[in-house]
Amino acid sequence: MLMPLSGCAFEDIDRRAFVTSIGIDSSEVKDKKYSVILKISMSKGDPKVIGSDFLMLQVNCNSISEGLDLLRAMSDKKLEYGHVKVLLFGEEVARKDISLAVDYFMRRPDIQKIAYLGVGKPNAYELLRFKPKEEAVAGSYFFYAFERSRMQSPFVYAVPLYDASRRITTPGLDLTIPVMAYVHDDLQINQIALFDKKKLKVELASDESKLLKLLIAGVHNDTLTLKTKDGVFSVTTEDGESDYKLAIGQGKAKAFFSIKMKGALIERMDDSGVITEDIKKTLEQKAEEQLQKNVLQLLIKLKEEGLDPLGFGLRYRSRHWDHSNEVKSWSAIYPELEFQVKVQYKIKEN
Amino acid sequence: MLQIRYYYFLLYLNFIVCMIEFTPKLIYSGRYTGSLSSLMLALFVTCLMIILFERQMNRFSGQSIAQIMSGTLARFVQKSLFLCYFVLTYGAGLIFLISYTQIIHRFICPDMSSGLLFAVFLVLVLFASLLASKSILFMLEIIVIFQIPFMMIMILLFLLDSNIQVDFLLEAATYIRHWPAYQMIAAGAFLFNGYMSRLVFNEHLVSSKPKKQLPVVFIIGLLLLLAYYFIPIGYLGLAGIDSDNDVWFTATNSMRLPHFFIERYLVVFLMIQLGVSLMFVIVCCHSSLQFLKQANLLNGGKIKWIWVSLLLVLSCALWPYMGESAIRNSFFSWFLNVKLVFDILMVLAVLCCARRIKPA
Repeated sequence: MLMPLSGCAFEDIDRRAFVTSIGIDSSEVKDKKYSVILKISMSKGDPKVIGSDFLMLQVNCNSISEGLDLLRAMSDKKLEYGHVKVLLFGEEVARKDISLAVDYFMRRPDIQKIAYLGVGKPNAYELLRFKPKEEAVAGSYFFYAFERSRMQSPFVYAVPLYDASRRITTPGLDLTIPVMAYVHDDLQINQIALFDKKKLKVELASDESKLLKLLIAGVHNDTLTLKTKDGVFSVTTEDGESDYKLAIGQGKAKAFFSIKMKGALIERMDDSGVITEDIKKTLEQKAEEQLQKNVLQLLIKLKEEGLDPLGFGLRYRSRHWDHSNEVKSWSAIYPELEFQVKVQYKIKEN
Repeated sequence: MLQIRYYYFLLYLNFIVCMIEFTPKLIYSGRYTGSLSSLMLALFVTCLMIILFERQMNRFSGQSIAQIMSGTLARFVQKSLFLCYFVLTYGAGLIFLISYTQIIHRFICPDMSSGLLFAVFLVLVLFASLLASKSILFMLEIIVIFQIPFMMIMILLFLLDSNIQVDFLLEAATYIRHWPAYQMIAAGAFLFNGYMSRLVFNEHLVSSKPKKQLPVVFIIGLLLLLAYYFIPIGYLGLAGIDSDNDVWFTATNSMRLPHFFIERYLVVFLMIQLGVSLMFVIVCCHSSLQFLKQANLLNGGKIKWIWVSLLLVLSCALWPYMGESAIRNSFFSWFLNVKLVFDILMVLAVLCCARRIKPA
């Protein structure tokens, strides 16, 4: 008895249009706030001929729900949001405020909370219009790009909608979203945008993004270029992870980072001789020095911007029993926080 | 006579069904003021009550609650107690039916009118509750056994999810040092309220071994309680959890099944929760009718149908008033407070009966 009730609710599949991604740009029309873009897959419900053809609808509006209503009026089919896998914010919107939009999507029951978020550069429309040569379903390119990023990309880590929402609501843990840039007819996802609760504040360069990813999620297969007196080498890092401890003493606070990395393959970049044990030793030492310096620089940069994507504030609160004014006391501690970074780089035999 | 496992199924069912509404919202509303400690205290209190209750009930194996009380309590007291329980169980069933209808309306078929859904489910539940107690217990067994693997999968998914930061959970845990509050204890006690169903099903159950089984019940209860409190916090964060009405549905909507043809856990969870909630409402309705029977108000065919149609009309009449979730919430928190008091009274009454019978 429940089956017919819970089925398609009287709407056949060929009467539905499946939205695969939603993009939000700031509107070019005066006194309209957003421009909402839907990417709709033109699949016919037959798995053999799904195809990656898509349709795009765009509308200018003042609120997202108003925009979705207007879009509904533009389609003969029922718009189905249950398959939205990617939410893209144009850079301009991101620089204003995205917290309200995230909140709206979070509370909308038919949107998946595992949809990935991205910042589109120059805007979301350009990115959604992008049609790769080969794609299973319209929009799956973005999704797989994010999905892969967890293991494959050394630059970014994907942020699902629920993660973004909890990062916006939790004090002492700031939001980061990968930037998707449309450059020379190609997509590039190698930067992380840092948010202060509401709006985009800083876009990290791609090598800074690498370090941030190492600190937050760890890396797999990343390359370091090292200059030594024996020549220039490029070392592949097989595995890297990082961990930190907070120590709050009398008025002084310190964060101890310990980073452990494993190098594997070494590529010679000039005519230096065979790689010997001695060279490996110097390479290890060089890598440690270089990483330590760069990580420290990044941490200080984050601190000076007042951003906390690593969640020091949350860590501080989770280790303290007295909750009366810890958010306040943390905001006094963070600008004074000192860092100590210890890197262990080991190159394997090969 | 059925095995005692059906009794534990009832306990489990009551816990699981509390995921859908009110209790999570109520519990998380006190997350900064000691809801965690209240839950822990509620676990201890209910375990104490369960062991007390079971030991007394074991002396009356195979007897109905009216038989147990006859001779000890005045007929008038008995009747009013049963009537109160009739109202309580029916109220619980109705509240859950309404909220469950609205969840289905919101998540599964937003195009159908929720009134129609409610009517369909109401008819289904009322007729199912007219079945014999044993059939209800058999139905319950199937539903619970289907549900348990999915509960385990959910806990595993949570534990293996790399996106869960331990700091969120630790932050929530640091609030355990606040004093518990009665409201929260009542909410926590309702999670483990299934043992009270034994009042209805005692005739059909063999006696239990409370001392042997209680540690298992306690440990499973503790694990479930921790999962119940911490899984949504892990996904939504301690601060972000209160903006949500359906905490569990949002949390399961954030879960990803990595190696399965369905990617969203929510779909699975909705389906399972559907069966569980309907089963709970059926048990509630059945219990309320049984309490009427114990109060000698449900004899003969005609009166039975009068009562059933009365319940039908009453539910339909209450539906528009209870549609608003704010009203339901305030009503439900009042209901929880009363329910705990009545449960304690009932345990004491049974204790009293057992004392009386001892010298004889």
